[in-house]
Amino acid sequence: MRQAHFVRALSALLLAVSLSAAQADQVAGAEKERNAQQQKKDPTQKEKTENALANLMGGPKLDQAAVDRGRKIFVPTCGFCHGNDAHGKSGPDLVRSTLVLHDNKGDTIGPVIHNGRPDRGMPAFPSLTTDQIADVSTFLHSRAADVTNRFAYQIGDVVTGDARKGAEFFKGEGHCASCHSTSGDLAHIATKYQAVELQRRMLYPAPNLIDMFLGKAVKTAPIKVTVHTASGEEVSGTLDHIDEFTVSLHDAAGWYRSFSRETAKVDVQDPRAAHEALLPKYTDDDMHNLLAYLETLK
Amino acid sequence: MKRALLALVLLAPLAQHAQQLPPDALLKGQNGSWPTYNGDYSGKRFSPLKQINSSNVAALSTAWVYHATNYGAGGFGAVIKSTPLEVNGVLYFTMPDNVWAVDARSGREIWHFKYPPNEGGHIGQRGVAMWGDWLYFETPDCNLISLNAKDGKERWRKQIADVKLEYFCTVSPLVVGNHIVTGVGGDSLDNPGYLESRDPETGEVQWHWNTEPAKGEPGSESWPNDDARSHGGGMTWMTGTYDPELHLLYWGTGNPNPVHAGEARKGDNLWTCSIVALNVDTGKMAWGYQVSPHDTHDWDAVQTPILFDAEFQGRPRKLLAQASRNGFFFVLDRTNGEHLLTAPFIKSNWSMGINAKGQPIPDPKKEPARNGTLVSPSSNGASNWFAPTFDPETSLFYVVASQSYSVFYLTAEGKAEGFAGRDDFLNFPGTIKAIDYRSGEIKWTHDIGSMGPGLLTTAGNLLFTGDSSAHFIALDPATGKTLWHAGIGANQTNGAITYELDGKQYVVVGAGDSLVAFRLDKSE
Repeated sequence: MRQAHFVRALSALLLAVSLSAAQADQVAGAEKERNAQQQKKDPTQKEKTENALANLMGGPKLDQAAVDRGRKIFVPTCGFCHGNDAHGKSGPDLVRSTLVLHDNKGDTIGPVIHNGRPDRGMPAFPSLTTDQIADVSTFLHSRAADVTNRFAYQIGDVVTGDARKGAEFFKGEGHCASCHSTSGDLAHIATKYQAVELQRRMLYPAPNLIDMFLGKAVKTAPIKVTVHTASGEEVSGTLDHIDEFTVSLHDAAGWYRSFSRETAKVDVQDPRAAHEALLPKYTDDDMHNLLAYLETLK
Repeated sequence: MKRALLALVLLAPLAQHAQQLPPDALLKGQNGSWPTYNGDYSGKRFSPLKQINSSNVAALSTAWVYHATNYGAGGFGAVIKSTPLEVNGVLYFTMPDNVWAVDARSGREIWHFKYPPNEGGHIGQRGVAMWGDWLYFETPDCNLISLNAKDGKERWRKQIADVKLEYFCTVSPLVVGNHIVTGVGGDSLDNPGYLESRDPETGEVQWHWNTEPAKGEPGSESWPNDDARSHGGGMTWMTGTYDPELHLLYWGTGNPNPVHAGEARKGDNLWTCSIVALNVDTGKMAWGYQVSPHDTHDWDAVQTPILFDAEFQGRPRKLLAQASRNGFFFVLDRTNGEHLLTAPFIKSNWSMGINAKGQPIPDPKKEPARNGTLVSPSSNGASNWFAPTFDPETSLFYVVASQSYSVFYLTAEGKAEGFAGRDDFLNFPGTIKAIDYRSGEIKWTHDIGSMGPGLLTTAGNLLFTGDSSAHFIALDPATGKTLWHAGIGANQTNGAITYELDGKQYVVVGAGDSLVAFRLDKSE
């Protein structure tokens, strides 16, 4: 079932995604990642994840030491006019500047830095060395990468709701208590997931797309299914796959069995159905309050 | 080499007589072939062929399978999202960095053009265009390449967008007369979208239309300042349609930038998320209609604007219809852009109602927020790039529809640039819906499991599609009932096409890195 989820969601991504450069780079990144993994022996899981994420974000991997050196030069030298984050102040935005985006180790920004732009009020910085300018260039490329790599965007504090109201929603309108218990399956739930992750799983218990992309094992609740065959046999088990034509399951003994849906009657008990039914009913306040309540379950 | 020689031998007699595809031939419609991305200028993806029909579709069987190899790149883009062209018995189709010519009768490869690895986005490639004996191919790093259809040899390349600014290119260009119309993509660094027309022989620019109006032009007032307007996005990443009588080109535009942060671009942000009509010779805009004013959810309005002539409220009209990514179905009069109908095709929750112009009014409370807003549809949209179809025999418009949800977060600190936020996808449902263009009423819904592939209807009373369990399916377009299905080894990844050769009708579909062709069994 996990596999089916994975394939389904991945194919959705594959077919559906909006055309953004970040996502496109993720595509190229996937291949880069694969090649990198083949060449490099036995990376740790942490390295694997970091590499995959870095590639998912796209773009060439920047030398972090050069980025740091570049920042130390940029902030006191250029930040007053261009902003410490290079987003522009009295001087132009350098994050989405064509000249900067075309730069390679200072070849286009170097002359501007050395000579200034007196017509536009930019002073010259003749004392910066070639190496220093290359570092500034790397820093500026890192700023552009921070903007284009949307999967690296950090989501802020999402726990803003009223936990008391969330508890009411849990027991009342949300009917959460009919399947879940705060002392049972949800005990200490807030210690198991980051708040953003918890918010998503609370709404719909499906894996995160990026986790799936990274091939991270994600626990999903088994779905029970009962098949009534034309010959009168009744087979129950854990759903493996269902589509318009076939249903397959693993029975109590662990055997895989599949049935044509032309003749079999199928009864699926999908615990996600209640979550799906609730999606159109939440207000954003309900969502924030319910999360605040779940966050009390430490 | 042997194959290439064989191809030369096969093509030689034809080449002596005439061009493979004179541009005027496109005015005659499909004519049993599939000469453009959408089959013909209307974008209907309806074929008049009916040898394969609802009474014999049960006997449809595999004619051949072509399995692509040696295509490099890999990743999500390395599947056949392209709609093949079928011209004179040859199929031309693509993946990012790759173009193939394959025998449409047998599935044998004739040639394979491979573009070197490059830094452009490899998310997908929609296909080539053909003018005379030449093919036109957009590379991920935004070169327009002209190839000789005979042997796949490159004639020239022209840069059509700057990959360093994060543009990338995927579009199947549109050929109209002496124009090759090219669109561009890439919305991660706040660049303007545009359309260009290029000379088929030289590749030189004939006209350039920018999504954002120039300073002082009508529509420029929908931006708060020049900085926002000149970084406003609105990519043109799906092939448009064309009305030869009106001489107008119809194209959908993408989302504004920064994508999820609307604060610094207050206003409608014209002409992002719009359907625009341009004079094909001049690129001058005849009219525009914005389907998502001030979008903050990444809902590109690039879905095919389908053209058909039909009665609307008792009057015969030249219509244009789009089932848009924002979850609403629009019908316009394509002569002048007059709005005729807006109707939801999923239950979205982002709009406060419909204004006097028929546009959904965005609810500011559903804009992305720091702590998240629960919005339907997700940024993937209620529909996306999957080709819709219009069947003039049922008068129904068919679309891949998804009742998806996402939590939309605003993330930018300081100046918002690029996406400036992200959404966390919850579910990925997918259905085919049949929409009555006169009322917007949903006549039927057929579950396909997830957001799916492109659609095709035929005069054989059939609608071809695929589900998310690797089946290719034929439905009754009147009822949505399944008439036939076949496993094709992978989920359908493109829009299927149909053509006739030697008196036999073929249906060809892309499934991952394979093309699968079907025709009726000999016994039929």
